[in-house]
Amino acid sequence: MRSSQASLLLVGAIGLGAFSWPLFISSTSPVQNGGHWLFLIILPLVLAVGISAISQDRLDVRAVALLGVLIAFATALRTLGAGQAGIEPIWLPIILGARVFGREFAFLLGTLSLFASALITGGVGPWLPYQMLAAALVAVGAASLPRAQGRIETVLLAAYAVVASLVYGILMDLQFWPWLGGGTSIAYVAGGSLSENLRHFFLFHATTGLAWDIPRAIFTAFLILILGKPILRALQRVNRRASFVLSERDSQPVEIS
Amino acid sequence: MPTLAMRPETRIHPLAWWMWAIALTFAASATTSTWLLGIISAGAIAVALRFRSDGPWRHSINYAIYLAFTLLLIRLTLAMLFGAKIPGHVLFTLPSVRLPEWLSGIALGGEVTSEKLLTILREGFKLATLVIIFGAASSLTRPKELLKSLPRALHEAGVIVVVSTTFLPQIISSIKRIRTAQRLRGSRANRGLSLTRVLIPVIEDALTKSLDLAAAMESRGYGRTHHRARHRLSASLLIFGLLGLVAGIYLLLVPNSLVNVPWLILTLAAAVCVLGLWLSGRNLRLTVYRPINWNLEAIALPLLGASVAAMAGIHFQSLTSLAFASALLCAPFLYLGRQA
Amino acid sequence: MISLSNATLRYEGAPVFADVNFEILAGEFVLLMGATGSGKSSLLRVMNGLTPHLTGGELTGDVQVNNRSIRNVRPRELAESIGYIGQDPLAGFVSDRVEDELAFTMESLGLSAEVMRKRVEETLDLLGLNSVRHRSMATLSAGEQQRVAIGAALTAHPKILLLDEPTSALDPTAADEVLALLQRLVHDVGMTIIIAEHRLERVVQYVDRIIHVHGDGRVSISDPTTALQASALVPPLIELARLESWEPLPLTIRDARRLAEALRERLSSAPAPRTNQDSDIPREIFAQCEKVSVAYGKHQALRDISLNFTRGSISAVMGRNGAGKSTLLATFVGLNSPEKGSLTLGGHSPSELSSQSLSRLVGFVPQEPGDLLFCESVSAECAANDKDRGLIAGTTMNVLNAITPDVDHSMHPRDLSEGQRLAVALAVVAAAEPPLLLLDEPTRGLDYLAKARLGSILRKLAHQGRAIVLATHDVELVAEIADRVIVLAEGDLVADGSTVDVLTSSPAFAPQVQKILAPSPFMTVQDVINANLGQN
Repeated sequence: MRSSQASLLLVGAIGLGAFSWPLFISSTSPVQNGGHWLFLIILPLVLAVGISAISQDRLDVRAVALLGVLIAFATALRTLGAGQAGIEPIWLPIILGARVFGREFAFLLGTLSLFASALITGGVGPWLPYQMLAAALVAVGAASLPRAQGRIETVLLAAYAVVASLVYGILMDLQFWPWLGGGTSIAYVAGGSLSENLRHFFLFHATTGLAWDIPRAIFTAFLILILGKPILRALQRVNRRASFVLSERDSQPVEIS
Repeated sequence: MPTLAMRPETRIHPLAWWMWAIALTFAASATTSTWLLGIISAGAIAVALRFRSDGPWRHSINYAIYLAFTLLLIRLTLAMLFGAKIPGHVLFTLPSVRLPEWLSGIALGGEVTSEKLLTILREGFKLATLVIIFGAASSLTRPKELLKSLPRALHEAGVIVVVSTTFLPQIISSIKRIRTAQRLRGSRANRGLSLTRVLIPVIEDALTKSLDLAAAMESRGYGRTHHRARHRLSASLLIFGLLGLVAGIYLLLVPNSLVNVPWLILTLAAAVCVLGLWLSGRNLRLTVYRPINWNLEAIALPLLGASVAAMAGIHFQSLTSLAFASALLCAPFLYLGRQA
Repeated sequence: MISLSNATLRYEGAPVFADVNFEILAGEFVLLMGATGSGKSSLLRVMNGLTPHLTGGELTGDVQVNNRSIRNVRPRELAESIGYIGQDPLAGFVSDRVEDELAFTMESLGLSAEVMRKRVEETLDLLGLNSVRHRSMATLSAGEQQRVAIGAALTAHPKILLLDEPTSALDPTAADEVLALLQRLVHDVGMTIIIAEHRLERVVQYVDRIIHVHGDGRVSISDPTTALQASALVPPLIELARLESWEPLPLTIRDARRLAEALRERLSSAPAPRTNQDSDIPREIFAQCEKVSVAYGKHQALRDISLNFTRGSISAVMGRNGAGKSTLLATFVGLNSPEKGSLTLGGHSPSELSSQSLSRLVGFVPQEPGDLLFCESVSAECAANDKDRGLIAGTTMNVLNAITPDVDHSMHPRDLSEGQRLAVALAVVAAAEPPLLLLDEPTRGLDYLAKARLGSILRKLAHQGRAIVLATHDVELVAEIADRVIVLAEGDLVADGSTVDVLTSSPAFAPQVQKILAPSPFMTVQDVINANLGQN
């Protein structure tokens, strides 16, 4: 297994832990009330490791240029799109780009899109590493979908967009849960049963983030249905034109006889 | 025109401000005193307003304050709806609704006491402080400088983000240009279709430009100094570091009898990760043009922050300690120039 | 310095060029010429290895730069030997500050901070960019951007520079500056420069040798005179020289003037050209503006402009970049509302019309014709246009075929050559038969053949009764087809008269033939041919 794939897996595992720990944490854990502080410190390190491992191993100059341009496009959409109530056009290039260019590219695309748009829109908050990670998970998921062509592909991606939007909302709310839910009856219970925690979380989610998730799901799916096919084709064209495969560093020249 | 204060030699390194902010975050997490939290917040806001940079993040502190209030409000609302009962002076009573059993039978609403509100406010204050600290750090630094100061291991990612900030205005202007052209094409098309007509040429244009960019970067030598051989060592270190983190986190979260071992594993794993990152950075053999250097003013900042964190950590809570913390937070006012 | 031995390049199918052998020596200034799509860019890119390493393709034979074969190394290893500057300088920029851009090259090469600092200052001086060093790239003029792109390649201190159409996006003044810079680099700094260019008239007098890419796989290298004698694509100067059989073939206006003594004598007694144009026949005024002023914020883009455009005429709007040409066109299309004055199109005011009706009165081809196109194939584009404007199916396709028959209808518009893309955009716009057609800088990136074809298309359209307005820098095209020239400067109307009057009265706007034959009012080779026929 390549080191970049291994890093991707490990970062994904840590990431899932970073989001879902309130559901599983034991009552004897030294961080039962402070898991969110712990991850606040660990996550940036983990993201740095993931980004570094993948870019050092797999990043060709064409991928760098392409990522830069796709991320600029995503940021432009974010600044021009409404941004409120879940209307987030940024997911369009993330999901479609991830689909065409593969998992490692997808990880970088998701992480750096959120980072770059935070740079433009006005600063950084403590949830940024979580956002980056969640976006990376969405992107890697899109890259892992089964092969399909034509209309089926568009529908598949739109369906994924719905699922991914809801999952993104759940992940971000999971992250906010310890911060905002403490001291209430819907706080997470360290050592509690999974079903009890899930019920608490559901109430929390329903009162806070769900109102964003549903418009996001509908809007993103809608965008993919109308714009998906031509954008995918444009991406595939550039993929072909650049003879573009995330090639190994110092690889042999292409097709020289 | 740049003024003397903005020459690289006199600027504060952006990481200095961020390390200051991180130290204050530690302070906020460790303390139990609301007063200290208040002083930290106030200090962060004051320093941010006084020394903020002229970059696009100028107003981050404003947004952060607004956001902190919003989050407190959300917290209060949730507590009022779902809060555990804290007896005391009843302020008002919300209608009480009992949720069905499958939703844990939780009671919504009920009495709202002043003690409850105060408790919630006190607990929420930590998050508010955190948001304000981050907003302050954003206001104090410029994103471009931050990108330049990223550890070398993240250099490629940095280049990607720099490219995206360079391309952003081009994409926006091409959206305007193409929207104009398509309007003039005079179509009966409705809004949905006209979105296609504008975005497709924009993205195709951008993708073509990305190939030109790759050609230009390659011709100028980008990517040359990456050495594959040493890469194996740094990559292995990073993998081991991650594995260690996984183990440490698992042991911390899951019930077991090991008390200090998880912390030890975590710290070791983090150290291995940092080592791996440092080594990756060295593999790249890059240099930086006109880097922002660490001057004394910059070094002082993290130290100041660390002192506040230390005070919070040892729970030193008398009035003198609060005064001392205020002084530490206001120290930048005394020795930093107007434009940091 | 650069040597090709039996080099053949193939992309799926017929070779782009085959069995090429030549050597470029140190200190030469070489021009790479050929029709659009002939493989000029590919040949240029093969010289530093961008093809095949980055853009694919199959290379047989060898290409060596300073005795290093490009087969074994990627272009980035050659950055200190050979630099490459692409067609669109803005697309090649990593950062948006001039200084950072110049430094990026050196950072990638791992040079020390002192060396970087020194080289940045030297390069800024060499290129005259010190005054703009802190500015953001987007605020620079096209000429300045091009110089920054050259500077960014130069900081690696290469001995060879490859430039792909460096002057295509530039107005004549900026183009001259860039070419003068390249001259200086060759003569003072001793660099070897290879430049691919369509606008031969700007470059031929400077170069030592010309490489001609024929398009059928052959590539020949020779001295300028031989190459130009044999080529089909030549600037008007050479065309005139060939017509009059001047020996030796002059490459500069000065040389031509010396040889043109006899011709000038002969023509002084010939009737002035274009006097018997049917300019006395009153033509219907279709569009006019009266004392129109347009402002963008505080900047006054147009001031008190009064013009009219008649059916069947071709008018050219000329002037420096920023003089207001594009603004004028935009106002006629209804994109700006004039703050003062009135503007009518066929009796209607543009702001009152819906975009549907507006498109039946005026058609606009923007600087980037590709902005108008969004479908996956040419035929889809035509079909969409028919549907949009409520035309009978096939109308746009017919118009396209009448304009240019050799476009492959299944191709993606972005894969077409510049000239073909322009033709498709023109067909899209002209299909609804608007009486007024506006074109903004249509000749960018077109070779002489494509320009000639554009000229004849526009003449045909004018003949059908349309009013055609071109905003352009291209004096030669204006001399060929325009009846009337309008000159704008800083938003003011500076000149408005027949082509002959305006172009012959100012040295800045004189076409090559006019410069050679001044003071006789002959502007194109065709004028000279007509005069010769008239005298026989």
